[in-house]
Amino acid sequence: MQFQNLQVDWQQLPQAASVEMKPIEKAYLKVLYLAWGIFFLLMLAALILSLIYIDPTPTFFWKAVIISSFILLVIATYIITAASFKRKAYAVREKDVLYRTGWIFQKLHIIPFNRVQHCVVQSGPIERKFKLASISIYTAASNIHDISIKGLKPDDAEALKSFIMQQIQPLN
Amino acid sequence: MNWQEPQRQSAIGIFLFAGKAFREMIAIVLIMFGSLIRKEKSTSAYLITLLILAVIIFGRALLEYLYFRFYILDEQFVVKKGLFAKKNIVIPFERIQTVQLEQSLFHRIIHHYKVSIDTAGSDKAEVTIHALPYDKALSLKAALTEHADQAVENIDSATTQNHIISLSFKDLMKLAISHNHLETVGLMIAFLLARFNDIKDWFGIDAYDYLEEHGKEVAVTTQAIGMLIFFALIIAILISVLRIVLKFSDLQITLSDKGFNLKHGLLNSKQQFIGSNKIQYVQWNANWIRRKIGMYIFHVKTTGEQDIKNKQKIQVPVTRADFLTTLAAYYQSIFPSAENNANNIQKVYAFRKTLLIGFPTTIVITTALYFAVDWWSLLFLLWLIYFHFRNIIYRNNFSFWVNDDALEITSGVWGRQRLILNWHKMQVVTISQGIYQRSHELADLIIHTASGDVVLPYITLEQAQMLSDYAAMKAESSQKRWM
Repeated sequence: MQFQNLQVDWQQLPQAASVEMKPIEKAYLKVLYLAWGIFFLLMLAALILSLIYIDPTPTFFWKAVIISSFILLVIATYIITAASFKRKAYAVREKDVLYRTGWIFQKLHIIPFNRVQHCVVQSGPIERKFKLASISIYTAASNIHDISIKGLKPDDAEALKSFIMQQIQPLN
Repeated sequence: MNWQEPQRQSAIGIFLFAGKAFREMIAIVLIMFGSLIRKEKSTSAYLITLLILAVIIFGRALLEYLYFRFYILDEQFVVKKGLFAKKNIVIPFERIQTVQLEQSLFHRIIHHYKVSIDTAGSDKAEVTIHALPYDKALSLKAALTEHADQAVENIDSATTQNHIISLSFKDLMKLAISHNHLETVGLMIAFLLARFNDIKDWFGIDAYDYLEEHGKEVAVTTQAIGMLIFFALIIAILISVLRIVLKFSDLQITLSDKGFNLKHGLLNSKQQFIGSNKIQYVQWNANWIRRKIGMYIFHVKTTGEQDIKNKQKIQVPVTRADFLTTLAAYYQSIFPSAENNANNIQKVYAFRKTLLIGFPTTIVITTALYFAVDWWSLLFLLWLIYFHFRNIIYRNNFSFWVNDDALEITSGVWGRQRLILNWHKMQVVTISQGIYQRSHELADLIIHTASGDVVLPYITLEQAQMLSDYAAMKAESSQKRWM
């Protein structure tokens, strides 16, 4: 279906869908696994402690239910993390950033530079171990706080940040 | 008025601060007196308690008054406040979004205004000056809004249009009667429940125990319940009438090149100014009854609306269709629907919504209800049928139009809503696809603005790509400011 009377022909517009996207660093998958691993270990410890100390002790049936749902949760997280990691990619155009993310619900964000309020380059403890950084791009959009592209080389993140900062037009 | 000099508010403001301090401490005050009553203390104990309270409240108010000063420095509004925790608020003029003058009954008697200055953006700040005399308040407002739009050099009366929308008493009544009374009943119940719990804190009587003891004395009959619902509705309608008369009496709207000026309210009168380029999008809606009597509420969506308290939202009741056009034309002169054909969302929307939201909800609630009321829980299936029916109506009523400058959407199940958004007001645009949407080349288009999201659900992928590319192009190339 076509829309009539738009100022320009869509064929002549820069099309986001045809841009070649750059995947994020492979090493970031390890960061994700490690972070989830730590989270699940803590959860497992809490679970075991509560199974031992809860009074009255749950029957074998409930123990089995709890343990198997924990295992299911771990497997589901593993699958979703791995699959959505493959989807994460970004592209920098002359006037905006494109960011593709999500596995079940796949999203493509377009963030024009002249709508960016500020951006921050961060690096958590695990990310630092793997020499990775992430960039958070803040706009005035009220329902999404920021868009973070994680798993970049620190140099790439810094370069992207300074590129965006150059492009931000002053408010007036 | 020399605003370069640091100023204090009127000394009479001390009473307002005291009132505020009293309201904040009311729970403590009630607890103190509650325990005094229970312990059957002497009169002198009451007097001493009163004295201490008065000293605390007025002392606090006096300090607050003394350590609150404001002035203008280099196109910036500066506020210094606080005794122990000193706070310096600096607001550049171009960050000021609205300047509001408000009056309570007390303000009216003493001829004062309360001035609130709202800003937008991620660095959110908000300043309230509780009491300023009329002339000072007006002069401050003028000084602050003078620079609302640098593009407009000087404004004389010739460029100022005046549209005075006044509502007759009949209009006000129509507005009040057509209000969503179920919502009011809900608010009443929430209010009562909250007070119910407070009773224990204040007087040490457990209201629930009391009810359990004496509840059996009251016969619960259909008649009694019917009467209860009837009275609740009557009270709800009375509350609505009162609220609407108080809020919208004396409504005046002035449009100028700089923005909207809104004035309304009977006891607590309020003046709002909204700079024209702070408007993100406009929207008007009507519930089922209002639609039938041709009455709409016009909303002006400004930046950061989600954070602003409900009472500061900008809403105007409109009784005539031509006013709607005038108001909306202020934001977007040519409606997309006037030029182009309507587009619809895909038929499958209704079924997918029922499948993804309706079915899981039904399964969970029916199962939960089963434990309480056995097979009667299957009655919940009626809701599922209604839900699907309503999704079909929603999809059939959903239309959108596009033109060079704007997107226009109408939607609604029983009521109606219409929205107009300029493309360049977008912040981020997102195409989202679920599994089903991917295999059928469909997508949701989400346009994030500084005042919430505008969503086109279940349009074709090609449409979504086209519109997102177009919106991005407009945002990136337009010289117009988004705020």
